[in-house]
Amino acid sequence: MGLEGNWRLLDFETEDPRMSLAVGESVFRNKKAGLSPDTLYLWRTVKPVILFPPGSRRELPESAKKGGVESLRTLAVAGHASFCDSGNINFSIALDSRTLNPLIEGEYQPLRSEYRFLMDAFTEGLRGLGMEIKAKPDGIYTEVGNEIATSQPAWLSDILLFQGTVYVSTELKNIRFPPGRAVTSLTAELGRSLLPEEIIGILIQGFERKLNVTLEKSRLTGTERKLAEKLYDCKYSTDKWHFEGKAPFLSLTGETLVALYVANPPTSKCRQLIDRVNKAASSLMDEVKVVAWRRGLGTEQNPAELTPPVLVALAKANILPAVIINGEVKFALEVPSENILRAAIHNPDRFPDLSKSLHGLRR
Amino acid sequence: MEESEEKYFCIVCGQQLLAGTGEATCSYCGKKEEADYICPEDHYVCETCRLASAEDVITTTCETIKQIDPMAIALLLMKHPAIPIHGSENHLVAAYSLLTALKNTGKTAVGTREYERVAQRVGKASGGICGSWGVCGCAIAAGTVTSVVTGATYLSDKERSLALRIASRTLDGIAAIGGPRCCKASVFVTIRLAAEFLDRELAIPVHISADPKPCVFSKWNDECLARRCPYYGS
Repeated sequence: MGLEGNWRLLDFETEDPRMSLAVGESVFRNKKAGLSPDTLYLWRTVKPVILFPPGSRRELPESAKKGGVESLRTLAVAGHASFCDSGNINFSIALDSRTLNPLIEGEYQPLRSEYRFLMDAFTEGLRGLGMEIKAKPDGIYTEVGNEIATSQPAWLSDILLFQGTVYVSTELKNIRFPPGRAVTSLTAELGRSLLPEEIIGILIQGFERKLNVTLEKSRLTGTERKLAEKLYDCKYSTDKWHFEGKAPFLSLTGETLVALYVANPPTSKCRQLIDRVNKAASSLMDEVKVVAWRRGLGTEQNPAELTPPVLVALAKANILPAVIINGEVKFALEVPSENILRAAIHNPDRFPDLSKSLHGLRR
Repeated sequence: MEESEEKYFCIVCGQQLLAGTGEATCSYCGKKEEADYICPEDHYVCETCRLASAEDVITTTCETIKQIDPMAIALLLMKHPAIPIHGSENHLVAAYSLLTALKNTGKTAVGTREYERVAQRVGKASGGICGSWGVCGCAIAAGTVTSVVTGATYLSDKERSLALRIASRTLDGIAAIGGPRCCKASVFVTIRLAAEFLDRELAIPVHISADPKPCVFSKWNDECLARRCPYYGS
């Protein structure tokens, strides 16, 4: 790709915040696959929304929920829920976190140092407005502790997706956050009207200065666009994701992921299963990715692919061999026929997920 | 994914496996069968053991193995893919390795009943108990084995003290290493201290010749203590 070392300022506009979230995840996954450069994506939403990381549902501003504001689940492992309207600048940074190591000063605290550094990149530009603000791992705060930006991080080994929002001229007066959390905007703090368009340039300059990079504006690659569309269709446009947190566990680059959990080395039964799955998937090779996970070899055995979380449960329950399609256990302790496997790969939803009954399978 | 291109490595010694030709004996349960993959050092794992649960691997191996070195037994068991890097399975490894070594020395009467008692008691030590209760399941294993072979109860005098003291010393040894937890280091410490204790206090010679250092499990442990651990490195 020849993109290593370059930073991209992503040029992509949509009115649909769900699509913006899909684009953020697509770039993140492609970065992990080595197909994308480090990227800063700044986006806005016309329609007010709440962006909440898993685990922060209880924090959702009640007043906004009552007002019919949509709540959208983000891909994150930490962070607070944020309220966004047309007065916000939302950010999505996908980068190889190892590139930050030489730039981080002071005592290194795993994860927190990276988060604080990236928040500080935005703080650097915003200080030019004449504000006394401080970067923390979970956001940017005024002197009195009011929140002016919020972050929501996610990881794929060393690749960091750092999403969040900067409150520029957000209509916050009717939004009540939970006790102990005070959110403000640049406009409110400075006492003058600011437009997000004015702030975008300031954020970019601060970011370039802090990371010592030059952002080059460019569009999504073909693979990023294709994956973003797929993530939009099967994840971010669905209530199942936003309400239940459930989405197909696709391969890193968006193919149907058929993961096999087998013995190490595979037994004759395991080999038969691998052979049948390969044959069943052979006519769909561009749309399906088959990955074998051998018991006891850890995640390093397939570093270029995502590890289905259910593998841990399978290991604990000693259920092998097993076939996992898009994150759901479809077959366990058996070797289905090639035709059945083909049908399951074509239409995973027609086959039940056995994940909830693993311990019963051994009885 | 092309299965034929895959290379497999011996779980016991790490050497690349060769296509099997003829019968081989399972390094775990001792069963003989036609081998599909075999190690140049003759290590072989039968199909049943490759699919077995942690409990089954530990139980069947300890039923058949003739080894008198508890460290060698523990290392063999922990190399099996059914035994996770962290988890309560390692408590049973420590207990059964000690008990099996005692059985194989011939100096102590150890039979099915003793194994069952140990498994039942040690099984009560859940994963993560070290941090939440302040007692590692491996120390419980050392105390339990001592209790079972001496027949201690809460009414006993010397036997009860022995069980308490071995558990206490083992705990101290585990605590001295520091954290985050490493279940492998806990097993190593337990077996070393328990062997010394049994020899000294009960005159049961338990010899350790296998050296767990350098620790072969380090590469699988994301939280390995590395240089802070006495078993790390060459």
